[in-house]
Amino acid sequence: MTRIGAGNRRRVGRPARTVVVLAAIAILAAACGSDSGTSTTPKGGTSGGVFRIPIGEPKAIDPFNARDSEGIDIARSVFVGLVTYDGNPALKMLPGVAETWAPNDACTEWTFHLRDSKFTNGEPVDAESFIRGWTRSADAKSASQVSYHLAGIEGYDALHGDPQTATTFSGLSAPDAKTLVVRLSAADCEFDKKTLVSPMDPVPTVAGAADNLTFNEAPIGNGPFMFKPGTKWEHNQGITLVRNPTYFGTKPHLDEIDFVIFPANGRLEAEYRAFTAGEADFARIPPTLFQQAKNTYEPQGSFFKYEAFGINYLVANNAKGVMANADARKAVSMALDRDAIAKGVYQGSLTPAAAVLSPPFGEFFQAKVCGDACTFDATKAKDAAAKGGLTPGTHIKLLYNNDGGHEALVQAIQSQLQENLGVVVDLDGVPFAESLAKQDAGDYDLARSAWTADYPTPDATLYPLLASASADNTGKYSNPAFDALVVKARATKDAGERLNLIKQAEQLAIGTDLGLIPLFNRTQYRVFDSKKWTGVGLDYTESATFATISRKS
Amino acid sequence: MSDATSPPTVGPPGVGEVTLEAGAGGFGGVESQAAALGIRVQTQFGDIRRRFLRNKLAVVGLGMVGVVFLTALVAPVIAPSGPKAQNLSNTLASPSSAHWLGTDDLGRDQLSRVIYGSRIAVVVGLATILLALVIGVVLGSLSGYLGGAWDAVIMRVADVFFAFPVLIGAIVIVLVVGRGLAPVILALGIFSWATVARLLRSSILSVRESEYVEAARSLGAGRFRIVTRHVLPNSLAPVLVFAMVSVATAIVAEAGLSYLGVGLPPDVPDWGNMISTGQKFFGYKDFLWFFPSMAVVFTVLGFVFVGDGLRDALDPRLR
Amino acid sequence: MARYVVRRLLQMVLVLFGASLVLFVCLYVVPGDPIATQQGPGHKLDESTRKVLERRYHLDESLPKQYVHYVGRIVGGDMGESFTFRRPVNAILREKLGNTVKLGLAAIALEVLIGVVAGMIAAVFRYSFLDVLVTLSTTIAIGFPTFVIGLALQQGFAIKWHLLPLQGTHGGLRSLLLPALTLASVDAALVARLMRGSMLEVLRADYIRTATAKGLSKRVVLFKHALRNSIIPVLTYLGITFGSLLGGAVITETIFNWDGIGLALVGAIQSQDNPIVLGVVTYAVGVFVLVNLVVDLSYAVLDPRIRLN
Repeated sequence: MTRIGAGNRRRVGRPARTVVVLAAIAILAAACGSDSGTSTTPKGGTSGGVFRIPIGEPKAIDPFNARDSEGIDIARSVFVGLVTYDGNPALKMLPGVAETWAPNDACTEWTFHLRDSKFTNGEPVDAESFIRGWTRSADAKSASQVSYHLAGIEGYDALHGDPQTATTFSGLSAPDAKTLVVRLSAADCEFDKKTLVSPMDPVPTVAGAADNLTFNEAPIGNGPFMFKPGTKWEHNQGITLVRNPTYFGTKPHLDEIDFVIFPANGRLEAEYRAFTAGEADFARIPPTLFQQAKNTYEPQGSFFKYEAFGINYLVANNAKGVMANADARKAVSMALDRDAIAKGVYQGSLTPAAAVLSPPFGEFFQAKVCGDACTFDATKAKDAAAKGGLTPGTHIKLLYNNDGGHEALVQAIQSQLQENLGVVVDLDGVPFAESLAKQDAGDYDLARSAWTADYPTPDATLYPLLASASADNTGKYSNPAFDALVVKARATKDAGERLNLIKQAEQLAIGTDLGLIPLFNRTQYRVFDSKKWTGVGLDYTESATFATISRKS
Repeated sequence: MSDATSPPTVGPPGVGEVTLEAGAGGFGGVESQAAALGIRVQTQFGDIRRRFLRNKLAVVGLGMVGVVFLTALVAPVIAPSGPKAQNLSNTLASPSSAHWLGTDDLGRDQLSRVIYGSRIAVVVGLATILLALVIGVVLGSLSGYLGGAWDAVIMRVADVFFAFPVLIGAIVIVLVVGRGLAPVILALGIFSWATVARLLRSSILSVRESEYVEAARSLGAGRFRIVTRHVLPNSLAPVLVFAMVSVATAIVAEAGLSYLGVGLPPDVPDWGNMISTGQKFFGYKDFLWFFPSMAVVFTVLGFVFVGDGLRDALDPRLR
Repeated sequence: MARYVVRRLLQMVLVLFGASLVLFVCLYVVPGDPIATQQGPGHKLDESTRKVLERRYHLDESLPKQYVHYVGRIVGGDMGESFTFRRPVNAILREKLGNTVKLGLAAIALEVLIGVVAGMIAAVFRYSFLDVLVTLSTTIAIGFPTFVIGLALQQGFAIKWHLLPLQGTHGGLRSLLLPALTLASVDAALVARLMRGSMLEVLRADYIRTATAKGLSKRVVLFKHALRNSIIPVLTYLGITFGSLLGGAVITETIFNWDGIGLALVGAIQSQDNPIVLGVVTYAVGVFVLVNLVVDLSYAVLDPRIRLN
């Protein structure tokens, strides 16, 4: 968990980083040493308080289908899974309900040893509750839109396939109440990281089937927070959570979190306004007001930056059309003045990316893996264009969804490519639904896109975006050598070896082939009321770190 | 002060008084005959024109509309720069001598965009009402003059389109067809023809039983001739008034569609788009939504004044 | 009379079916896969979930069959399940309906109040400064698109003077004021003009002169006779617009983030949540047609000529 006091978080050098990691581990060790039933006094703050935070209407908060950031905000506060993650750059998982866990040597079977803990309704959080939750999420009848996280577990296809050929999850077993054994259909030495996601939360028996509306509206969990007794999800109004007195881990300091739900239209601006009017304690910042927010709130220590596990990029159509040629792709990439766009369109709030893995990936992050291809150079761009068959006058179709506020970006890209390469960029702005369909059909040359890793491992970005077998690889980049590397990395237990394989993989896909064009790192900024609160930060899901927030004394 | 009192009506309107002149040969025909007789007879058309010009507000409106048309016509000449020329180093600049109306989030000159926006407004306004008129007049005449089954069917279909909230219907059409000029015109026109048809139909119903039409029929005039030379010209008056005001409504509706994000593509210099973008900077860079809004208001008022003036000029009760 | 009512009711049903059919076809002709859209950016939808959902929503059947399913449900009052939220559309709309109705009613109240009073003042004090003021401002008000008025009101009352909440439904009556005012503004101007003209005509009438000659006080003449007779065109106009107001004011709700069905519609259209779009439009058309029917029927009751036509 990132603790943010006053001022920005600066990127620290290697030795300092190690110290921070060690310090974090030490603090956590001290904190986690306390047994359930006591709460620690937060450093520099007092216990209690009601934290008001604006969000949008979630699509779902029931863990089986929690998939948008709003739903995840709620679900990850009300539920805790096998492991937890505090943002450490080593990408190491920390104990959640599971105290210890380990894979077998082939990484095809994982065993988790659970602690004693309960749901807020008194039911035990045992191995059976995990099997129940995972089965509920993977069941074809539930039609969960995020069940793919469980796809690597044996028995998933029978349970999830249509037609369904099993009603139980054959890859899961519980030799005893506190041991969960998971058999995978393919080796995955990072499977523990996957269990962070909501569909892998445990659920009590009262959860029932996936379409149990009562549970959908007020899920009963085992996390640091719970629904305020007697309340449920007030659609389009708000959700109120209170501290869970029986939580097994470090109790949060906050008494209550008030999620105030804002309608989707102009939500960013509305949230920010609520904050500036003193009606909210925390808010996101509309890109257009970034400079203003920074100038006003940074001096007060109410403004912070968070480098997220995500990337903004251009999908390039590797399968057909003018972008199928690597030199053409590099030409486009070199013709883009990312700094100018960052300044002009985003007021300096985004950092240009020269890699698909961003800084939070710790050791895996290779700052310049893209090399020259991601540095602005109009001359080199023209050379590459000539080599790649991108002659002046060529038409390039740039696809984007016109309901996401990306107009400024794509028009800037259009303008730069036309100026620096002499090509004609046809903007194709369509509603989001249609943009998906068009990408699938290959009806584009370049497409604006963004990706966030679901859990903190390079595999959650590299594989989906660039592996041939991945359905999310809409650019259809296909390099068997790359595929071999990432699959091998999955089966590699040794962390050092895995690091090498991943680095090689990214070097190949981005450095050599430039299968997609990285644009900007996904950097997040937030404002919060630093006069009242301390310990405010973001976690890897870009949710506020509710568990560490405390009132300033 | 213009005595413009009643709003655009939806129900059966009053019919312009039928005068002797209009019967025999349509507008203007009698004047030559009368001149031959040495009598100076004021034609109905001349009457209308004079009444219109006497109405100060109507004349002002005509001027305003003229300004908009002129701007649309000579836009490339008077605009300081192209409407799509970006300048990423000078975004969101306040109005200054370099940029009279400031620049937007991509550094585009707002004055040029407002000027070019008049083209869109004029095109959308006129094309929409033209579409509505064509469909509405044809169907309305068929319905009103032929009656019977034609009438029943056409009116029921009109009811369906009438019952659809215009904005929602337009959104749905744009969804299906895609964003662009033609879809927007189609969408707005499709939901306006029903009123035109209804107005025309009522008008025709009143006129077709009148004496001069009977006279023409008894003189042996065929149905087509009767409809085109006698019935239509006298029924069109309320339709024309509606048309004028409809241009204004269409411009506002199109701006509304763009505001909701279902109008023209965002890089097109359209007033609605500009207001929508401007709203993102609400309270911080208000000049961005203010000037396009004023442009819309100016244009709409022009058409409304003209429409009001036309109605007063055509309405005999004020004589 | 009964025959008239029956005829109009049948007409209403016909119109409803026609509108819903048109809308239904449009929705399913729109490019893009509504189920895939629900997935949002990020991971693609897996095949078996897609199949399960398509079966659940009958999307794997032919369009005419889907329409039949839809009609069958609607007749039973069930508007189906939202693709995005997996909740009954009825429940979702019911939560928002209250807000829309509140807004519509408040707008009408404001329209009538402002419009009638302004129009009366202008007529009674004809050619005075007040008359000029009213006439001029109402004329100009018509030129302002609703969203410009809304933005201007927000700018003034919420941002500059901090008097009222900027948006949202959370603030009770204070939140209601600006959206209602925005929605009412253009109509209020039209009502004022209508009222003025109507009252001017009535004031010229013989029976008014008789009443004054009889020695009745100006106030009695004004309020008892003139007002009652001159307000009829206003009521006619209100009858026409009432239906569309209750049907949801899409733009006003968007500007003020007013959590009504208009806002739900805009959101549902963007996320291709077709059941909600169908539900909202069906409701809007239904209300419009129903209100028109009631207005027409009351005219038929009041005016025998229409019945006998």
